[in-house]
Amino acid sequence: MVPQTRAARSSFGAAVIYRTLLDVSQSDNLEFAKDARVALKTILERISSGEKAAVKECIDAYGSLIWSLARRFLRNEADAEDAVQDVFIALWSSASQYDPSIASEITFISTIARRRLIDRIRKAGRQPVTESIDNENNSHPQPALASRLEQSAEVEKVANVLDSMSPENRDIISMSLYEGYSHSEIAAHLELPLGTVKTKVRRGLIHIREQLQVTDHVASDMRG
Amino acid sequence: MKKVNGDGFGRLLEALADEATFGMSLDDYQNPIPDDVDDIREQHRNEMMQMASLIQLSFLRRDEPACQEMPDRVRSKIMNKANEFLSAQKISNNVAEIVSLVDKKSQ
Repeated sequence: MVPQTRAARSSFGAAVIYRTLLDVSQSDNLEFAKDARVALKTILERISSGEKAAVKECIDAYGSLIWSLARRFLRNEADAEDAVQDVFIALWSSASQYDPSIASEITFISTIARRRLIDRIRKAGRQPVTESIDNENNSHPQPALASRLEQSAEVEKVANVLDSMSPENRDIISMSLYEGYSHSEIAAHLELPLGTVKTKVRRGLIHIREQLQVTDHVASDMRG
Repeated sequence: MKKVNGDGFGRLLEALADEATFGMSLDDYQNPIPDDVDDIREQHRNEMMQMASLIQLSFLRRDEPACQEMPDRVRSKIMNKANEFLSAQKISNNVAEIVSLVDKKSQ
């Protein structure tokens, strides 16, 4: 019996995989174990191997994430609708490029989404931000998305580095990378010279990159 | 640790940081990227974009009002796109199969 709502189906799917793993650990049935390994393949790997159901699962699993990123970045709802469709087509088409040893699925997907959103802004020409997502009438909060992001170790590491930065530098990074403001919009908003904003954004990003490499090296030394 | 400014690698990172924050695209970067780091450009380009995405996710997870469910009408449109994608993929697979059969016969 498959649950009716999308959220319930998602939990149901996780429970099925967990149950399958438990069964495999108690079973000598090799065919069954093979089925369980198939169940452990990521959605993108399954799309890449031509599994039709995985294409639709991808929408259920990542639709809200991509929608939320698009709404935060583009603000205009109609633009976000078009952008989300572009992102999914790009995802399905590039699923074979996904390598789980390089990044988690959620990171790969959000990177493709980010590239597409930036391309869209560049092609359309920069439009001023006029709409606040907080005032949107049709929004349906999805707290499960935030808690899902809380569970990602990669996201956690980056969040720790962001926490260690000064509030001013963190705000500039947020405006630039998360809220989708251009450097000149940030400069106008914060009443800072454009060159200062550019330098702060660049240095902030490079600092985070370096800190993450240090963290990885320390973790690797401790393991090694 | 590599210096941020004053060397080719630093200039590459600056250009990639600009690109990842859509200050400008790498192709439009005014300060030419030296040849000695050009071979690692794509690798670092991917890393920088990936990191920018992780930063985006880090902010999103603390911004509950921004975490929204995708509306059903958008989902319906994407499902239509999914069906188109699957149909195109099926045609492409069929063509590949026919080509393969023809190749086998001609051998």
